Amino acid sequence: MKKSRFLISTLVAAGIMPVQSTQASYQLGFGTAGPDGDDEDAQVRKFAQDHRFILAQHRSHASHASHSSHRSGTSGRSRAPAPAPSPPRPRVTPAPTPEPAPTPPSRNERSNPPSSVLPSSPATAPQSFFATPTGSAVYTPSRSDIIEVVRKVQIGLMAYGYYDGALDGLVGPKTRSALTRFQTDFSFKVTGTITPEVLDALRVVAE
Amino acid sequence: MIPLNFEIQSDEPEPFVARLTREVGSGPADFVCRSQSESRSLWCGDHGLLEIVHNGENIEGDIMLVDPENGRADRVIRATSKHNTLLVTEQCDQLCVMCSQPPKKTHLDRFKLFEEACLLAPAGMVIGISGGEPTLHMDALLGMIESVLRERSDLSFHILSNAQHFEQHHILRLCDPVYRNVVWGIPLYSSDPVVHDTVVAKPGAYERLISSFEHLLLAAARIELRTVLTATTVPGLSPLSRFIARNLPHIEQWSLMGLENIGFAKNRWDDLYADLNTDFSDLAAAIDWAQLHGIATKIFNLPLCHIPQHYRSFAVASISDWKQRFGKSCVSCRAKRDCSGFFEWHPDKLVDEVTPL
Repeated sequence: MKKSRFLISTLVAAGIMPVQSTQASYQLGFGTAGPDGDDEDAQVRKFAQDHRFILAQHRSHASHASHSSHRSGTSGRSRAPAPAPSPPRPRVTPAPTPEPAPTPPSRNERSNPPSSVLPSSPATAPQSFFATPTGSAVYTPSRSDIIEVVRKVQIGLMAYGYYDGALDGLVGPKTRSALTRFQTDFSFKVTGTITPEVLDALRVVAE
Repeated sequence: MIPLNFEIQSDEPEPFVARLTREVGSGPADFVCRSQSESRSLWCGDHGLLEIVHNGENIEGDIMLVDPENGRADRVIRATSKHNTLLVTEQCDQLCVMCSQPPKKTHLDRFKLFEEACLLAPAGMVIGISGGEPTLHMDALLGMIESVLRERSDLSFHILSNAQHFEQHHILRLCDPVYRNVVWGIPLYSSDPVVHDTVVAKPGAYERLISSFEHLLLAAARIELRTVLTATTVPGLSPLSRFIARNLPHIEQWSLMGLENIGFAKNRWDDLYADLNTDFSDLAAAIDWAQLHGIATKIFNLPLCHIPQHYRSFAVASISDWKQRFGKSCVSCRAKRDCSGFFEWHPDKLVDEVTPL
């Protein structure tokens, strides 16, 4: 609880979130009475933008730093290997495409999953299976469910400085290598896949 | 029917084995449930994420063969079932007239995955192996059985085979103690070579079968003979029972099996179906002779009310849970619990020809 308040406050301080007057009191006065659940949800939603992800309550200040550096675009690529099991204190490389919500391309106005316009990973199931006969990429709900979780993991990895690829919800070579490095640094079982340990460490909650 | 495969999503490119569990597992194949809704559940393990589309079936504890490329998972071992069968190949060198699982030309080798799945099976389970003809891939099959049983002596296998491929050099291998846990289910349709070869649509099959019996006998292999009850085979049951009692007395069991209305039998039903409800005499004579000579005999796939009272004790509730169904008036039957019922695909009009006991 305390940490989450601190997180939110720091985000505000970092200028990520606009301060609303109604909430300003608690945002500026951390250490006093905590926000109620609704406020917190609203904040998280705002932070999440349209991604429905819950990168709940980063465990350390390091993550805040990563967010702010992310924002300010500090350069310098260094990823500090962390002493396990405590989270590392990585610096984030300014990602070339860090925008969590890519603007929809003009030629495909109604479209939704960014992955439909991004090159898909060869490692994923055949797209034709999920595509409508016309070839337009309309995903079945089941597809988007798993995509959401992968996207949350990608955002988490990006926040920790391990990933700078697209937030496409597809486990490609970049995501795998990020997972491998993350698992190595955290002394997790190294698989290059999204394991329960990774989900727990990144506090990704499947809805 | 209990579904045996599901639509899935996974971010792993290669096929893998997954054991679904609700608790944090330790094995590399264990997948933990992370979320669940009415129509799907999301699991996570060493192979990444696995999302399964299912309608609220209890799949916990089940072992899945996941094929991400085709978006499919085969539920190869259901933890709560006694009827788990691995379909190791779809190739076959016979073409039985009533085949319930018509063969295909191609073979997808999944023995390594099956081996992994078997090693995870619940203690004491009997695992069926079927096809196609499993012994077309004899070395892979025996290799799998040996490595599984060396590690898991609590498991047993029941293998359906046409026994066309046992050679002299297999005898020593089959003498290995692990084969105490293996029963071979082998079809023999008639003591008349011509009738047997006609049923399996392979000239010379009978002779080859007899020489395989010799090899298996020398290896002290455990054998269950299987005879499907069709219009062709039923008239020959009495001579067949004499043949078995005289030449194959070492078998563990002779199984007389009701016809399945699926595969090739579906289009030939009228030619193949033997109405045992009306005329049980051939079957009765065969059972009598087998009993007299100490051959353990069982009747499979026939509902109890189709069997004369004195022979009901030979009947087994044999139809696997996932393909079993009953007639409307079976509701009031007191013997339903012990009855095989009908196959899910049994002709509708015949399913209601029942007499509640």
